[in-house]
Amino acid sequence: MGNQDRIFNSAWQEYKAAIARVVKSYEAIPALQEELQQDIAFAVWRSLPNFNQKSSLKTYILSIAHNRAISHVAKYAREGVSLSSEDIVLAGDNSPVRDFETGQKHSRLLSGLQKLPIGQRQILGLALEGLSYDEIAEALGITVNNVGVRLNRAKSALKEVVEKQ
Amino acid sequence: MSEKFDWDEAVDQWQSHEPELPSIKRNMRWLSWRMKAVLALDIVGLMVLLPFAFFIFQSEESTSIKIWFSITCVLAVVGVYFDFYLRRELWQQPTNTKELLNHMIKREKAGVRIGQFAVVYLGIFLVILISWAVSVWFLEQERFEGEYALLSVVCGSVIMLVSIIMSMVYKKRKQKRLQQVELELEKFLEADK
Repeated sequence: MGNQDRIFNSAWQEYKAAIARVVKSYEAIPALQEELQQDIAFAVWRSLPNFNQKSSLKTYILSIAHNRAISHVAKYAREGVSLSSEDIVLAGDNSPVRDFETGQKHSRLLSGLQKLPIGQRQILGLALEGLSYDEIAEALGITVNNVGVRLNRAKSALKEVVEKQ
Repeated sequence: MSEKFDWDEAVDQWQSHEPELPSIKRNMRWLSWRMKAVLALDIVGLMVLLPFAFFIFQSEESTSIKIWFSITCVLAVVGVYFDFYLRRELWQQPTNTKELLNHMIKREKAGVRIGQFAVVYLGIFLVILISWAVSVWFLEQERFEGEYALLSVVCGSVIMLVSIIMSMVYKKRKQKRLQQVELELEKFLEADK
């Protein structure tokens, strides 16, 4: 196994749950989730040798994952494939979150996210993963001040859709 | 998360959830190899064509065949050059969303140019093929006496014509996508206003 594969394996093990959350927040159709996950894995594998440690590895990998997800959504939205949020319940999801009520709450959050525009979904996804304003600014290529403005608007929008459900 | 939305609770909910997805297929090297192989195929095609051209020129083939082959070689070299030239900026992976959207715009613009190039390139090829066939028809009519000679020229022309139409459709699709991505970038930049 080459060095690139070793670095990839260790990074993938560490961040696969976060990547799975990115996949699920952008894509509702299981077959396409698999494709998106594969796209992200390949992009991470290709990019890891270029990681320059200017940011944390988590920020770097999440930026790649969100960027791949945006390209994926752009591609499939154009091709007319539905990304229905109706299917976003935890059906078939063997997550450790077994408690029904917790599962329901998570479903509402995920479903709420899916109803928001891509830009808001992305900034919320990064913030929900615990990235700082600086890290989000780097991932999006915008200023820290703009992160504050955008994130506040996105949080309000999320609150509104979640409470309406 | 209660009925009232609470951000901190949402963060806890989010991070504690570990969705399961199928294992990733371990084909990274294959995917990487495939990307390079597509362009390498252009070069290999060219490499195969050149010795073949040399062989034709050494042989006792008629002048018309030699001219046709020379034109084919020149067009093949130009085609491969443009294939690389148009993709030259598409190798890097963007690191942030703003760069990504700009990169997507570049990619769609390259697609429009590739479509445009293909229409012109194949158009020229078609005109040359027909002109060559017409000149051979008058100057070396015995060449068309073979059972499949005329059929092969007609089939070649039809394939080129279909390719030109497909290139036009591709270009139109790329133009539409370009407009959509430009709109997405505009929305992304306007989010701060």
